[in-house]
Amino acid sequence: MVTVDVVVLGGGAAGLAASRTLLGRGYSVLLVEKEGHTGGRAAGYACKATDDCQQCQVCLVADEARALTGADQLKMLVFSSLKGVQNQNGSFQLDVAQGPICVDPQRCILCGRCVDACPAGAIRLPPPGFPPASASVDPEICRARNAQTCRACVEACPTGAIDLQAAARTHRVRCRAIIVATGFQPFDPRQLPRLGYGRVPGVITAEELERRMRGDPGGLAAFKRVAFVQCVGSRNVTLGRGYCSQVCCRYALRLAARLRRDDPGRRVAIFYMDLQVSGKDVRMRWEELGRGVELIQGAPASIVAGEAEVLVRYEDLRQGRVRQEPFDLVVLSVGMGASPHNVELARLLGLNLDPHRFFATQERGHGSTSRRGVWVAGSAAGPTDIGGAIRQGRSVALAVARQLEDRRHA
Amino acid sequence: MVGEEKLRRSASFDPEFKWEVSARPGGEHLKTCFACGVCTAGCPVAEIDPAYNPRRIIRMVILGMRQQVLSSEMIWLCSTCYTCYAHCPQDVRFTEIMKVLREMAVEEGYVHSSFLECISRVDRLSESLRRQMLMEILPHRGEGVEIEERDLLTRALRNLEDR
Ligand SMILES: Cc1cc2nc3c(=O)[nH]c(=O)nc-3n(C[C@H](O)[C@H](O)[C@H](O)COP(=O)(O)OP(=O)(O)OC[C@H]3O[C@@H](n4cnc5c(N)ncnc54)[C@H](O)[C@@H]3O)c2cc1C
Ligand code: SF4
Ligand code: SF4
Repeated sequence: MVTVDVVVLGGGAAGLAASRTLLGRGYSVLLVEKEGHTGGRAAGYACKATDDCQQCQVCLVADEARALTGADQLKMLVFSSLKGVQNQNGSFQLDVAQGPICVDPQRCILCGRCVDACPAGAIRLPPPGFPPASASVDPEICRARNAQTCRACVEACPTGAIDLQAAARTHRVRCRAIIVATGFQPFDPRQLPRLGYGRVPGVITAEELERRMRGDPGGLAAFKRVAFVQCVGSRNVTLGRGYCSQVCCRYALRLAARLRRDDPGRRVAIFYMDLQVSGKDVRMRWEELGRGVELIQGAPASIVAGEAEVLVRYEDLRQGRVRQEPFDLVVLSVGMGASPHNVELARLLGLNLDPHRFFATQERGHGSTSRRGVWVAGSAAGPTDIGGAIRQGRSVALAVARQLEDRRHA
Repeated sequence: MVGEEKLRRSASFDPEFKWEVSARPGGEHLKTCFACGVCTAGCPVAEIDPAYNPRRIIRMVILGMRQQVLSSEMIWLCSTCYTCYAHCPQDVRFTEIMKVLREMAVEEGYVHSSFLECISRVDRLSESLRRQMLMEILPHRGEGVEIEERDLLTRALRNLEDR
């Protein structure tokens, strides 16, 4: 049995910020993360600085993660998720299921020899700066865990950190409050076949572009004509997603500016219905970011493969003419949707979901729910950018601290 | 926008028009259009006739250009393929709006009632012609033969007359 003050579900921007704030106030925290490392979606995104910082906020997530190093009141379970909840007069008893942990984080020195040795590609290192600082083995892909004989990684590891026989476990946890920070799911553009994703080579999602720009920006050099398509899976009543995802115009403008910086000779166009960029620095940013990036008003109706290019068909609203233009790469600016796991999690925790299946909170950004002791932070409650997720994580943590404090005095 | 601007200046506006259209079955979603142009860019009629523009027709209805819309040839060009209906992010259901506009054009005397009957005959004939042309090429579907569409049309017409 593990006993802590607060369990934080999800180690993205919101969960990291909530954990940091609670630890700073002297509370003990168990961070439960579904994947092999913290950081959430943004851990895979690129810094979009041109000559100046563009304030895309991606590095803020690493800052939150870094602040957790050495915190002795912090426990962390990766490859873990909630399986059961019991409410016992004001406190909770949780069952957390954890997949097999084949690499001992105490011994792993992140040398990466296991990654090179694995013939199945089952081992990954975490993105730098996101704990736990340990390689991880995907048990689904690992040959040794799937009735084959392979000891390549075990032999390659200089510190003997790898145990391929490790078993899955269930942890029983007692806590006084729960913060749900389990994030969002990007829209899957296969639901809009007319946009070609998965069928037309050269059509990718913005998340894929973020990852490629982070991992191998040089690999993008071949793309001399790049188009962004806005509102893919946002503001679409017909798909049951009538809301604005709030982040796509801003990330697309910044990705576009970075693409132009990396190659000033390349064409970068953004197709939009109307741009939703809010905040106090909008006008300035707008002109600054828009420099050299073509903004084309007109939502594309279809994207098809040309001979060696991708053809985007749209109505040029200024002229009232239908046009088809060639690009080398088309980036779909996918919106933020609710995670499909929310339904199960809401059932376990006794929470309500809003009509779009995000967690319903009593006050937006404040994070209290209909269940006393259970709070929601970040994009699990609806679309928000990294800064918003961090702010919500902090403010929810402060509210939780206040509640725990009150009870201590009562 | 040049064409639209000209129309707007010359038009007499009827603010009731959009309400009347949206009060009829099929017209309900008219006012939710946010002019993204997806309908026009996917429309097969707009592809062969650049003057045909579903988004612009919606704008004209919303602006109250009753006479210009109802007397226009444009409202008869739609092939009711429902592509725009399926693509529209705002669920405007333009194909249904088109039917409403046609009804109103008849009711308000912009077209003779026999014209409707004539259109449905044209539609039926186009369907038969299309089917005849397909019957001509279907036997060759494994071979990838080159076929001149105009010859096909002549043959299809002849077949129809022979029947
Ligand atoms: C393509 C794209 C580009 C973007 N670019 C930017 C940008 O440049 N700047 C910006 O500010 N924002 C950007 N955003 C938005 C940004 O991704 C979010 O604001 C941010 O990720 C929200 O953080 P979060 O902690 O709420 O959720 P997430 O990042 O989704 O983190 C949630 C965490 O919870 C974990 N988890 C999920 N379910 C469970 C469970 N059941 N149990 C335990 N753990 C669980 C996940 O593995 C994950 O680690 C972008 C979004 C998209 C789609
Ligand atoms: S697709 Fe729908 S919202 Fe877009 S212009 Fe056409 S009718 Fe309006
Ligand atoms: S239904 Fe009519 S307006 Fe809509 S795409 Fe088809 S032909 Fe064009």
